[in-house]
Order: sequence, then structure tokens, then C-alpha cells
Amino acid sequence: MSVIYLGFFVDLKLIGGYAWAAAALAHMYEQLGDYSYANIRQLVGYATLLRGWIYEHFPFIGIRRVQSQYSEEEPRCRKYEPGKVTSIVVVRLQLDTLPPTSIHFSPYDGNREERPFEQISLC
Amino acid sequence: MKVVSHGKKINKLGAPHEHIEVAIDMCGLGGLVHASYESLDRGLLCAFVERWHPETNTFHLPIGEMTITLDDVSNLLYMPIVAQFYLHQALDADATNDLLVESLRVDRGVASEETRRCRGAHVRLNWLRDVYKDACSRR
Repeated sequence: MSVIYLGFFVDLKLIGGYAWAAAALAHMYEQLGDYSYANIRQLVGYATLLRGWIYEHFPFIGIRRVQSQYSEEEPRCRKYEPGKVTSIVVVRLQLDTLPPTSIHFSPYDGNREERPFEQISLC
Repeated sequence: MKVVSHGKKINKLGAPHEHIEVAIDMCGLGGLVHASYESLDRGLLCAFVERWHPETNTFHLPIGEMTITLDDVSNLLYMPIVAQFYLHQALDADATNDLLVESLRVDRGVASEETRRCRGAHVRLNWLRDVYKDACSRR
């Protein structure tokens, strides 16, 4: 863990004032980018974010259970309870034969009251 | 591929101590406390990650390119996307230890031993957990 982050938690009132999601996304891009080099064999990062993204946009890929008690006050990744692991061979085949109609492009309509769409997401 | 993710370790921290619950609620990051999936689905992650292209920051799929957006992070983790930008300067050894001593109330000796061990401005997550548990038990 980098000690640098501690500085952002010294004043409790200021914690929520940082664009944490932007930092998280930049970190994710960087780690995914690093992994794409042939000599790197390790993916570092918050796997929950990537997995949640897959669950939301690809309803037919990956094994999970939708939590019936999920409420919009919780982050969307809490909507899913991961199930058995998936074989990479199966997922590759699924991705190669995936019709566009089986992708969910705007999955968060139900959460807009909690998380309104911000224009900046289009940049 | 080896996947390094702290999901399980974060959940091991357990429920937040009652004295900091209010602060967690207030700071707007409270949703993260219980957000992490414990298990890893390596096959699922790998199948996507191997289609990632760093030039475009997108997954190249037969149907086209897709990527994780700020809106995804905002909804999946409930973290703010419109707020102050994250800026920091590199910390030297003294500043690192000062920060640890001031904000975590650990002895300077303990702090400097840990940062020496991690060779720089880093601490191990397990070490941080021990500091946290220790502070909770002293309450």
C-alpha cells in the first residue's frame, strides 16, 4: 500500500471531496495496460470492479446469482453474488460468438436517482 | 496469469469499529466496506483482459470496442466522479514516516522499520491491519 493515500484521509471532512472514481479508473487502465505486455504475468487491481463490469454488461457470461435483497442504496456490485468459477475456454467462445443483442449497454437505469448520469462520463 | 487483488483481505478486516462508523458514513465511501467479492474468477477475468489494448484503453471484442467508463465506476462502487482531482507529490523517507506517525499514531521506530522493509513510501496491508486492530482494541 502506498503511504501517499494517507494524506487524503487526514481531514475526515475532505475525504468525500476527491474524485476517487477517476483515480480508480486510471489505476485500472494502467494495470490492464501493463498486463498486455508479453513479459508481464500478473494482473494487479481491484478485481471486483472488473468483474462487476462484466456482470452488468454481459448478462450471459460468468456465473453469479442476483441478490434479491439488493437495494439502490448499495453499490451495484453488491447486486451479484459470484458463483462457480468459469473456464477461460468457455468465455473465449462466448465472446467470439456473442450477438450484440445480448450485451447490456445501459444497465444502471434503476440507479439514476442515487447516481445521476454525469456529462463527464462521455469524455 | 496471477491475479493480485485485495478483495478477501479487505473483507477480513470485518465490520468497522463503532467509533469510526459515523466518519465512514460521512465520507461518502461507505459503500466500499462491503463491496469486495472474496473469490476470484480467473478464467472470466483472463478472457477479457487478454483482449485489452493499451493504445485505446478498450477491450477489442468481435462486436466492437468496449471499455469501463467513469459511469461504470460510479455505479458499481458508488465513488464520486465529479470532485476535486487527485494530486500528490512523491514522499521522501522522512515525510513518509512523519505521515505515519501523525495519522496512525504509531512510534517513529515502528514506522521507519516498516517503510525500510518495503523500500520506500509503502506499507504492507497486513501491517496496516495490525495497526488498525491494535488501535481498536485500545479504545
